[in-house]
Order: sequence, then structure tokens, then C-alpha cells
Amino acid sequence: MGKIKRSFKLGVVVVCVALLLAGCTGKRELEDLGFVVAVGIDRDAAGEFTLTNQIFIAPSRFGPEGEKKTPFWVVTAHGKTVMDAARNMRSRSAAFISWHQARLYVIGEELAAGGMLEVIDFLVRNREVRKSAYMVIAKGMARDYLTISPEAETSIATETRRMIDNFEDWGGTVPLRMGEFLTNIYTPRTVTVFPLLGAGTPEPVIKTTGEAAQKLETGVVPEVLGSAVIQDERLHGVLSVAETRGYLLVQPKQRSRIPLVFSCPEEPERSITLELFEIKSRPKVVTLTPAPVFRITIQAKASLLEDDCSRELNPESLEQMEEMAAVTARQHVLAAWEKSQKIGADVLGLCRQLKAFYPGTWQQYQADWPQKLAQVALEVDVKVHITTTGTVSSGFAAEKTKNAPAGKR
Amino acid sequence: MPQATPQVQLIDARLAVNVNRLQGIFIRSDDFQLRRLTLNIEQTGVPVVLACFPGLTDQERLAEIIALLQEIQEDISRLLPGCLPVGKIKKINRWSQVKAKLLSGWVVLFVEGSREAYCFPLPAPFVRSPDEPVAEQVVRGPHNGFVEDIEKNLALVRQRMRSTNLKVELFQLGRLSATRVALIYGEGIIDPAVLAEVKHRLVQIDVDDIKAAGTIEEFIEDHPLSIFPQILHTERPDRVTTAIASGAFAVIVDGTPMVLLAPVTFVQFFHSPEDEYERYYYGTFVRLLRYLAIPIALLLPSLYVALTTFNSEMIPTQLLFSIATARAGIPFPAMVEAFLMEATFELLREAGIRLPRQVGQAVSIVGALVIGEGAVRAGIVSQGMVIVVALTGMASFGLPAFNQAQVLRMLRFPLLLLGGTAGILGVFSGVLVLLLHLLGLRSFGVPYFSPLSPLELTAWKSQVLRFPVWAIGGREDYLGTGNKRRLGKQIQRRRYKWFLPGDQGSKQPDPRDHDLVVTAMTPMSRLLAARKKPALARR
Repeated sequence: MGKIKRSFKLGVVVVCVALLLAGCTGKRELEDLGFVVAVGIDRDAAGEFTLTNQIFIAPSRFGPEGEKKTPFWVVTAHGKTVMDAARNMRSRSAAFISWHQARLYVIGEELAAGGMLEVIDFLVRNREVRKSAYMVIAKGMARDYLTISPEAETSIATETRRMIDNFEDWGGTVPLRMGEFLTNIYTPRTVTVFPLLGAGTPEPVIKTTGEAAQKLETGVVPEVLGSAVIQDERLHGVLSVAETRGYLLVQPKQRSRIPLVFSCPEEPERSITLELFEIKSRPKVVTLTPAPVFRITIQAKASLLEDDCSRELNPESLEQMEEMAAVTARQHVLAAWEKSQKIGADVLGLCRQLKAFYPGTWQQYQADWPQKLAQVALEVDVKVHITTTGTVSSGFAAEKTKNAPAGKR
Repeated sequence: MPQATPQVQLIDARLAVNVNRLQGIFIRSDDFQLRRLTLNIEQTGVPVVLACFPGLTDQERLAEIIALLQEIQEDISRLLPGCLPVGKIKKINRWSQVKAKLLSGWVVLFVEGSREAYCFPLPAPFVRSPDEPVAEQVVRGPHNGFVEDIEKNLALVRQRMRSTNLKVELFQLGRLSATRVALIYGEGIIDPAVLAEVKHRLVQIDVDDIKAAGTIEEFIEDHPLSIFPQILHTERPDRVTTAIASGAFAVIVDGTPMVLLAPVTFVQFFHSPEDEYERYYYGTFVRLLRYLAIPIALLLPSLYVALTTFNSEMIPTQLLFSIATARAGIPFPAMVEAFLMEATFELLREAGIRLPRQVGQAVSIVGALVIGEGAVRAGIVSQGMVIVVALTGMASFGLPAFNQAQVLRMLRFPLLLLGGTAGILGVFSGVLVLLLHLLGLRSFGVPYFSPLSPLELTAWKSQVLRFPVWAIGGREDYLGTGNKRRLGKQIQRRRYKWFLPGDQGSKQPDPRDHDLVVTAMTPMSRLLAARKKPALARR
């Protein structure tokens, strides 16, 4: 009996503590909430912040009005700080705004170029900001990007995230989670590469007549444009798709695959497409005097995706193909390096080698590392090994040439 | 001064006195019957009286016996035991014995001039045949179950356990009902302390009426105030023998097909006899499935309410949007909605059980249509809540022990209240309190949460999962049995050896391996033991 009394008392205490800690104040029914799914942050001409949120509000299931209504609502508010703008947004919202579900944070290009210090404080401090959310830089204003109608998904947030996730097969951009950015930002001179998106105008479908053709010609759709380079809370420049591939060869992400296209030997009008995977990169300091010289060794496996050349596929031609792929990959890396030197941001992360192995030297270079980058030399050594050739060994073009009558070869 | 002993009342030699006394004892008992006969013994008429309750005795056989009695012509005391076709005939000389036998359905024969009466059992064949229990059906196992007659039930157990170590002790409990209660156990297997304790608890029961096994359960369980059952009910003889063989005891109560099994642990409520009859892969899989059903049956509605009203950030975005869309326009808060739906579901279930089967089905269909279609279309409840309630119901029906499933169903409501007022924190506080309580429970001294806590990993093989029979060498430690060995050492070694190459398993059997209480060396096992290679060795 005594035991039961004791457990009963304990139970009452535990439940009371739970009630006191949680309380009914945190209670919000789902239908009273608006869920932010995408956040756009800009700075307007007056220097104030413009916050644009795409919010999901559950449409009423009853009545014809409710069924027609789209659940996504885009709303803009201004404020002296980001939080101020967020609070001002409440003046237009009937629902309580919850930020927990926001999976996409879009930063306007202009704001990023001017510095994101205030934005970073908002992101770090706010309890409702999910640190696993995607971050992107939008060409122009974030507000304009968020008002674009998505092509395949119901919301721009989902469409953007899926487009960025395609980097695995494409290598044209880099995915970025907020947590990674917030970790990098505390280390000076560390570069973070953001995905860069903007409004694209798709090629119109000429043969289609009527309203559909009109829509395609005039409408804009979201498009991945490459990557944006942020160093010390500020946008320094952008990387094209080819330069982004160069960056991904040096800083490979898990599961990233990089396609390479180059001309056939002795047939410049025909091309070969290879895809690099299982990329391993190892930067190393070669010398520090008179100027630092780095060497990056890259090893990758490749699969042959398309071979339009007329020569036969044999061990020699495969070896030749591997060498040409290495040259192309090297060109991508050097393109990224040139851009890196031009914008004065260490995109390839060479400074980490100095920090780790030559801390004394790094102390000297740290202050004017962006300027020093122009003096740094880079050697790139790429080794490609073709492991698969798809479902056929010899190419269709080569077979055709081989079987052609002798005079037509 | 010598202590006064209660005076023993003996049967009189005069038949008329005895008849008077019987009529006095069973006054206003119209179902009591006396039949006067005159037997022609040694050319003289000897009056005799047969006393019985016709409702409790087989009348056809009684008529046969009367006919046989009238044929007797010599000394009745010498002839009677041999000439009547009944199982046993006892001589009694006390009135207390007469009363007890008559009330148990025996027939008592009084003879003029004899100070002893003869009695014999002649049970009425009104008990149903041992059909398969409705609540514990199996596909591959035996299809018989206990009935309302204790004798038949004991016979069903004996048929499955033909050992002298199977002990049956009878008690008569209930001042008015005088219900026979049998305690069955395996001598040498059961923990003597447990046996002493259960006997002590049984003899202490002092109540007017033993209604069913549940009455006994309430008197002998360790924690009478706990919501959790600490004794298992079963209608299956195979389950009883399995439990006895593992060191538990069973209590059979006359007049009820439910047999009590104890000591029992929490996990045993989620075992089904089917687990033992299916292959061990499936047995393990289905047990794991049931463990998954426990949190669903207990927590799903409260977690749903807690997550949707307090912690919506924990729900995946797309799912959240679906739930929010479904909930738009619902007039009740999620907690009220859940209460309404759960209460309706329980009502529906209750209605389905109590009504005749055909009507019960109709009620279920109407209920499902009203709740599933009407309420959702009318916007009174959301689809999400209907799915949650349906899932919870399914999970609770998936639990084999009816009494434990009832507990989980009941506990759902306080947890729902906690989830609706304090969110996830409330739900887990409730779970914490439940766990604390569960960990403190014992069933006849055995920790209720064994073998999870105290941790006994070897017992997981048979209790938590369902390992092959040949891999479970011993009985569980927590039962404190006198005999730990359930599998002979040699057979265990040999069975494992079949996985191994070489000739390591050809050792002659150690006679000490066969120290099982219930074991016999059959000609076939002798033959197998003598073989150098096991019969099923890899070819």
C-alpha cells in the first residue's frame, strides 16, 4: 500500500511538472496556424528589410470558394530589422505564423552583396528557424523570385529544393543547408558557396497555338543559374555552371556526379560525354617561397554516357578518352581558380591547408589573403578511370563506320 | 479443562431418521429428490433411499442403476461395489460428507439398518464439448478448449502432460457456492516459495460466492489496486501445460472455462500459442509486430493530438499540410475530436460484443458508415482522426490478451488528456509514470517487467523473441524454478553441431543429460542416441 501511495505521489508530481513546463499557452490548433514554407529577405532602397514569405494556410473544405483557393499565400512586409518585418507581417495575417516548416531561405542578390550581418543574427538567434533549411541566393530580388509560378510543384519552395537536389546528376550548382553556412561564417576568410537561382524564360513551344503558346512565351520559371560565393557575410561573385563543376571537383559533395563533354580525337565536330563519380580530391602545399604553390590531386571514376566518335572502343582508345577527360576536368578546376583569384575569394578552400599545416605562415597571410590569392600558383593533377561503358562496349557510330562499304569509310 | 471438540454427526441406522434429517437439511429445496425403493435381499424386503439433485445427475443412468439395484439378492454391502456401472463408490458415515457429496452432484444411497451410506458420482452430461476457444483461435495448433466442468478441464490437462510430476490440489472455496478450485503445477519445476504463497492465498479466500475465475484472481493477485492484470487467463489446455512446464501454476475454477496462469510477466500477455506452432521466423516476426502494436494502441491518439496542437514542427511538412487541410473547418479542438471519436469507437465495440452476432455486424456497419462517411462529410471530424482511431483500434485488436488490451484501451484516455493539455511532454510524463508503475509490479514475486528489467538476455530467446526450440536450453531464471534444464545437453550440442563441419557431434549421450522431470527414453530416442551420426546430419 505504501509503495502504491509513493508511486501515486510521484506520478502526480511528474504530471504536474509536465503541465507547468508545457502549459496550455503553447497550444495552437492546426487550423489557426499559417506555415511559412519559403522566406525571402531583401533590402529596399531606403535601407529597410523586405521580408517576403510564402505561407501555407489550409483552405476550407466547404463551399466552392474554399475549393478554388490556393493554399499558398505570398505576403511581403517591411521593417528596420528582419524580426521587425516579421512582426509587421502579422498586420496582414489572420493566422498565427509558424516558421518551423520553412525549408527555404532566399537571400536577394543585392542584400547579399551589401552584407548579411543582420540576417545572420536573425537566423542564428531565432528558435523557430530550422537549421536544416536550404539557403539560396536569388538573382535580383528574393521577393521577385518567390512570386514566380513553379512549373512542376505546387509551391516555389518545393520546386526550388528539388531543383537544387538535382545537382547530384548535374553538377551545375551546390546544395547548402543553413547549418553549414552558420558554421562557416564564424571562421574568417571561409568561403561558402550558395546555389544561385533566378527567373528564366523557357524557349517557347512554337507549334502550339492559342493560350498555351502565349503563356510559355511570356511566363518566367525558376531556374538554377550556377553558384554564388559568400565570404565574410558578403557576396563576392558568382560561379557559372562550368566553374561550379570545377569547384565540385575540388570540394566534392557526397553522391555528386559531374558530367564532362569534350570532342572526339581527330573529329572536332563529334563529342563524348562522360560522367565522373566517386571523386576524391587532395590539396597539398608544394612550396611557400617565394609565393605559395598548391597542388590538387583529383581521382575519379567515370562512366561513358555517350560516344559519337567513329573510332573503335578498345583499351587504347579508352585510355585516350581518360586523358582527355582529365584535361577537361582540369580546365573546369582552373576556370574556378581563375574566378576565385578574380573575385578575391578562396573558393577552392586552399587556406585550410595553410591553417592546418603552416599556422605561422597563415598568421602572416590571413589579413590580406584575398589579395595574396593573385600570387598563389596552382597545379592540378587529374586522374580519371573509366569503369563502365553503359550497356554496349563499342559505340553505334563506330559500328556503323566499321560495317560501311570500303569506299564510303 | 479439556477443549470442547465439535461433535461429529453420524448417520443413523434407522432409515426413517435419516430421511427426516435429509428433508430437514434440504427444506425448501424443491430440486432435491428422494427415491424410496425396496430391494429384495435374501428373500426379505430391505427399504433403501436414493438421494440426489436430479439437475446435477444423469437421470438415464440413474434409472439403469435403480434397475440393477432391484436385481441384487444378496448382502448389499458386499455386492454393491462390484455390480454398479459407476466409476467409484464410496462409503460415508458423516452428515457433513453427505451434504458435500449431494451438493457436488453425487447420488447417496441410504440402506435401512446401515450406519453407512453409499455414494457415487453420476454427473449430468449437460456440459458442452471442448470446442475451440473463440478468443484464442489458432491455425496450426490444437483446436480444443476448456469447458465449464472442472473434471473435464483437469482431464484435458492430464491428457497433454502424462507425468506423475503433474500435481493437482483441490480446494473448496466460497461459503455458499462451495466452488471446487484446482491448483495445478509441475512438482520439481515450480518455485516452492511461489507454490507455498499461492496455497496460502487460496486458503485465505473467505467469500460467499465464487462467481468465476476472476473472483479468485482478484483475491490472489499481488497488487489489487493496479490497473494491469498480473494473472493470465486462458481457455487453452496447451497453453496451461506450456506454462506449467516452464514453472508456472494454473488455477482451474469449476463452472468457468477460464483458467488462471501465474506468475506471469508483461511480455507474456503478448504471446499467442500460435507463436509456438509456427516456424520460429514467423513467430519472431509476429511477436515484434505485436510489440509495435503496443505503442500504437496506447499512444497514437495522444501523440496525434499533442503533435498537432503543440508540436507541429515535428510533423513532416507534406503530412502536416495534409492534416491541416483535413482539419480546416472542423468545429472541435483536436483533443475534443479525439475524445469523441475514441468514445464512439469504444461504444461501438461494446455494442458489437454484447449484441447477437448478426445484429452486432449490423451495428458495426452502421457505425463505420456513420463515423467514416457521415461525420467526415458533415465536417464534424477530420479524415486524419478517423485514420488514427481506426489504426488504434486495429492495433488493440492485434494484442492477443484481452484483459491487457482492455487496459491499454482505458489508459488511452488519460494519456489523451495529457497530450491535449501538455503536449509531448505530457504524453511522455504519462508514459514515464506508467513505466515506473510497471517496473514496480510483481506477479507472485516475479518482477512484472522480466526479462526486460531486471535484464535477463538469455530469457529473451523464449520470452521476447521466439528462438528455435532447440536453442532454448534452460528455463528462465526469473521464475526461480527448481529445474533449470529443459533440453538435454546432448541434443542441444548435436543440434548446434549440425551447423558445423567435422565429426564433433558423434559423442555418446551423457545419461545425466536426461535429468528432465518430464522425460522418457522411447525406443526411437534410444535408437537415435546410439547412432554415430545424427539422423538429419548434412548430406
